[in-house]
Amino acid sequence: MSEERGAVKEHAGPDCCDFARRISDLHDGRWPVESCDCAEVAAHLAECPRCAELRDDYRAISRAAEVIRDTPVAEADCGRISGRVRARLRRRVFVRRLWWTGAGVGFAAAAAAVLFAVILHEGPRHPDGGRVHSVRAESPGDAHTELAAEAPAHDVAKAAPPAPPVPEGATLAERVRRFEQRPGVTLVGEGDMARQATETVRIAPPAPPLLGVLLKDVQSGTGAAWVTVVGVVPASPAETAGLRVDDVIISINGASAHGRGAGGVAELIRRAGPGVQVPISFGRAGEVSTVETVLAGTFRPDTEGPTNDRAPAE
Amino acid sequence: MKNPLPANVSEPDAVGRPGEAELPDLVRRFRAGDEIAFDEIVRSLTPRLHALAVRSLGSAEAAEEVVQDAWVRMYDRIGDVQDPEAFVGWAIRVTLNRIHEEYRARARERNAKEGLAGLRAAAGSRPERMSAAEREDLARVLRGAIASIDEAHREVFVLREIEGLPHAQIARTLGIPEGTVWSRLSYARRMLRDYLSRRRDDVA
Repeated sequence: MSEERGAVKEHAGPDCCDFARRISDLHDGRWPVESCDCAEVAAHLAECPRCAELRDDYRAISRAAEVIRDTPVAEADCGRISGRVRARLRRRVFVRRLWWTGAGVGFAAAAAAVLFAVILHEGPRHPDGGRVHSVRAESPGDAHTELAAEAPAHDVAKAAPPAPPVPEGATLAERVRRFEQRPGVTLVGEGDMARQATETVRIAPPAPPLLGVLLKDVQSGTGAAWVTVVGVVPASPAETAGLRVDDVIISINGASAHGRGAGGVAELIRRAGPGVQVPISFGRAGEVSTVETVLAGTFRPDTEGPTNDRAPAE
Repeated sequence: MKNPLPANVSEPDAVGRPGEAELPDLVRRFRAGDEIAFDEIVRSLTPRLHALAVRSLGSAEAAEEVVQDAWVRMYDRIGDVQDPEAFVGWAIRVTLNRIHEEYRARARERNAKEGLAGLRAAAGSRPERMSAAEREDLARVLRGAIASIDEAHREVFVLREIEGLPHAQIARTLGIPEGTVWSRLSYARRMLRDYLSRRRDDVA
């Protein structure tokens, strides 16, 4: 309150500063007429024209306020106003709920996609526990195992027949086949996997032009179909470009990957052709990034062709 | 065009309108997620806020818009009210702020002719003997002045001089000591007078 009193002083000017507040109080009926404060202020007002003017101006202000107070107010408007406020708020609440519902569905879809990605990602484990792209290091007895992109003529092995039991000490080829038969996996591979004699398995990730990724379909809760990376070939263009396991492929060369499935995305990469710089958009942790990748053009078609009847030659 | 609906439209609303004493309870209910409680709050307090707006703006149309806006604002910011008991004071504050935004926006378009001089001239005659135009002029001059002072002093002045509440009730409504009400009133009058005398100087 003290700062206010100070401010009043300032407004009251050099003289009569003590009276400004009391004149306001007197004007507003603070004291009964016989109180000494009242008498003192009244005496001062009688001899100080400035303060008398102040009091008159306060009266004029109150008179104007009285006029404002007497402005007629239509009570009837109130019901209508209440109704309109209700309507406006309902609209807002509705829109807001719509927004939240939309956001909720979107979030649920995203969560579902992540969940699926995790589930499917957990699926294709190598029997020894390593992930697909680390097969090379962990496959026993393999002198030479390679995960690499391959020629278009030898890819696409989908919908494999039921997996045979994998015997103890199975070759890598058998392990890969077993992996391949898991539901939801589109493993684009070459038929060499059946040739146990060479112990060389060539798995062509979706892109014959050597991007070097293993892809998998992901279904979100809303039925949106995306493709996620479940394996990256070491030293491949994909690894150079920074693609990682769990990335969701958004578009290849400007074409959306949505709804195409792993095979469709592989086809997109294949279409781009080797030696071509291709922009690849992918999603990771909620962020969408785009990388420019030169697809490897050095692949060497296997002249022998597929020996595995599950991988039809094109 | 002033009131396109028949006067009795408001009657169903007036029946069973909750009193201000029930407001703190309604505020608590609304905060607990009861949307209906807000409707009750609106029904309860709209007559008072509307009267305030009509008087402050001198126009029923503008007042209606302002009151609606104020309620939407209150709906959004009801979390700002620390104490449900202080809701009425807060509601008045929100409404007055909206009123004076409106007033200032409109005041820029007009030229207030006279300040203190007009007020002093009018102080001599009884309001009921003035013409409608004189009354409107007088009201407009003071409205402009009220719009020019700061929130804390404006709300005290409006509750005292426009709503005509006793000092103790103003103190309760705004949650401030009664002594502060008196001192703010003094300061508010002082500021109004200064504003009005500047106006007069501008014209002279």
